[in-house]
Amino acid sequence: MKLKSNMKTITILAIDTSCDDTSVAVTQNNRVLANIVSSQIDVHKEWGGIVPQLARREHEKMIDGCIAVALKRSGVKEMKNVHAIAVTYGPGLAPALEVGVRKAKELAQEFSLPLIAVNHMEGHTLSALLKNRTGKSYSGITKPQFPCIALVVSGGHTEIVWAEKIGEYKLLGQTLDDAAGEAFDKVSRMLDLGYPGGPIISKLAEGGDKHKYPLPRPMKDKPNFDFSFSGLKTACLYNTNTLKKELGAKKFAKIIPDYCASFQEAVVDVLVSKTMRAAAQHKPKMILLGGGVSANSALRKRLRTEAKKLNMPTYFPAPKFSTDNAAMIGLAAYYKFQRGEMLVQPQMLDRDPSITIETPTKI
Amino acid sequence: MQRVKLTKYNQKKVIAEAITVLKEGGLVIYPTETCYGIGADSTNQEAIDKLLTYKTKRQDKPISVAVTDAKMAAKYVHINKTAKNIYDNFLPGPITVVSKSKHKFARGVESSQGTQGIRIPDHSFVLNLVRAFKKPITATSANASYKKTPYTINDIFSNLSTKQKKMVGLIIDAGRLPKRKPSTIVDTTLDTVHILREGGLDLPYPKLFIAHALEDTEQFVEQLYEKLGTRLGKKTVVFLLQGDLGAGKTYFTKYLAKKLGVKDVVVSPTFTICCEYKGRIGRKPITLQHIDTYRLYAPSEIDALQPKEIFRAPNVVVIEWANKVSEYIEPYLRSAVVIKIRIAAPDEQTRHFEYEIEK
Repeated sequence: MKLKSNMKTITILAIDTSCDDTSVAVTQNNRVLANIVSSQIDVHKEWGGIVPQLARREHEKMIDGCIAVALKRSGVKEMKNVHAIAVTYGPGLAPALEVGVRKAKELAQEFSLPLIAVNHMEGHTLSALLKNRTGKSYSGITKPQFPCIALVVSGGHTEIVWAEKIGEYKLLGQTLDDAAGEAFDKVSRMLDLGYPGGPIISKLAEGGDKHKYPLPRPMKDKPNFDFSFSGLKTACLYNTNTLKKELGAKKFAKIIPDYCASFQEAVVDVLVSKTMRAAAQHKPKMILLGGGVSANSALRKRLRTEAKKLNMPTYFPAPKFSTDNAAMIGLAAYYKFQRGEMLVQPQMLDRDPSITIETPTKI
Repeated sequence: MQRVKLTKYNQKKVIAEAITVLKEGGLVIYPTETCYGIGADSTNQEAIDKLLTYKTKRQDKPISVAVTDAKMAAKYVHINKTAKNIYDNFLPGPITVVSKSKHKFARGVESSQGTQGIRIPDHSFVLNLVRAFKKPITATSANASYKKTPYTINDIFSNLSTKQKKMVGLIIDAGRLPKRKPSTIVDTTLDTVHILREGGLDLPYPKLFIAHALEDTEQFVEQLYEKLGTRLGKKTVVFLLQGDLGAGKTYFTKYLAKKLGVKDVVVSPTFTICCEYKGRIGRKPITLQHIDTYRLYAPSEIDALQPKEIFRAPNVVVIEWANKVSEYIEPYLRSAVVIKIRIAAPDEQTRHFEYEIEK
């Protein structure tokens, strides 16, 4: 099947296996028809499979089921109605990425479809631009304006990205050690709250006093746009140990909401102040948020308030597109398709676990 | 100043002469298994003051002393389990063992922390001399401070002033000594052997490196790099890290990556479990594999990371929370050089790296 870049409606089957979740989406241009994430649906019921776990084996067990469910739920039904295959080829966990890449190559060959290799970080960067099936924007964005700044915060990444336009990115800053989401997880563990830490801490923080325990803001005052959350983590470790000793287990349990709020405040403060400084300096037309931590309501609220002061519109992805998902991969692939960036030798595609948003587009 | 040539036949006579000088609070230059040392009665304040003047610019550096055996040492210092182990297995030999002192020495011998370095030289003449003198004699090298390590009498004298030369009561000349590194100095006052100075002898014990600040980690990496030598770039080199949250496992890896010429920013691999970086050893390109088992549900999941690829020579592999997967990676470690590192954090700044290089 020959395809032209000027086709009006492009249906893409997108696959993301960059980390824990197996995700498959069917998108039509910038609209999401279906977005399946293995940990969020009962594939077992709809197709048959097992509880998702970490790496390759688990993705292998999940992927066919996810594809089948995505096709069914999207209404596209059969592969013959799909125009292109898109897949995340990095960054991520090598053996996990491999499963998606191999499956995408198989599908492309079997159904003679063009294959588009997508950078997972581009997916997160653009995730606020997704629309639903009827064309309604999840983030309320009407017309995306470039250049823009994207703050991408997740368990594995914390980056400020400069997007000159769709497809042209520069890294303004990033974490030099732990990602913000990782700090949430680890502090949650110190407080014996469970995993994943982000939603738990955010929930507990709602009833807490964020000024009660002043915690360090590593690198906040450095003029660059890099982050460091390892120092905050270590400070929390010593701080909580001291508090536990001083207060005893019972009283300590009572201060947990205050502690969560104070910790969250430290993270949000650094993230937002660096982003705003980058915005003030580079003057983008809008600010996008992406990645799992973008579901955090304190972060959203503060970013919106601060951006308003600069008169800059901010857009957040729907929570289901904050965490890893294939819909954002389908979206990035759609723009690549329009630019004609399909792989010339699709069967040569290999995963590349250590690419960054600045890695040149794979064609 | 007297000078005698030590031969096979005149030992007794030389010892008698030396003891006369030592008893009068004088200084004796004598041969050891490492280099020429200078002896003074370690309990005689006048003798020690003279020695300190002779050595010049000592500041607070303590002076080690030579004894005949562990029994004699025990009269002057507290020998704990860690120290006993070394006395039993490695002495006499080129090691200075630092223990808590019983404060029987003249001022200036002990360290300012009240510890004392003890030597039992692997040299029959010295042992006989100390045995006959019945007290420890100082065992510092015979050169003035910051001058060349002396292997001949000429090495010493070419760097001494006339005044210094006059201070020496007796020189026992045993000719040119074989060039051996100075003694390894080990602090045994903690539970783990802590190497204060690297010397000729490498102790097969877990050792300790103390970092007083994050940046000191770089020195630790430098030391390991030097010790691994040519094994790096040839064999698979695996660092197994153990240590609590916030101990500095990722920062250790950051400094290691810097040493390996990695250009990318090394970040915590907790989320992605395994990160791959391109680096080099000399001119040889290598891959640094940075693994974190923190998030693994079951240790067997390490199998899914393609361990054969990860442990391919000459990769450098760092595994955080290594104990969790030790059983599963064991087959891949058989032909690798393994460095076990346990990181402890006694306070927010200080880090203790207890390490052991296997093979």
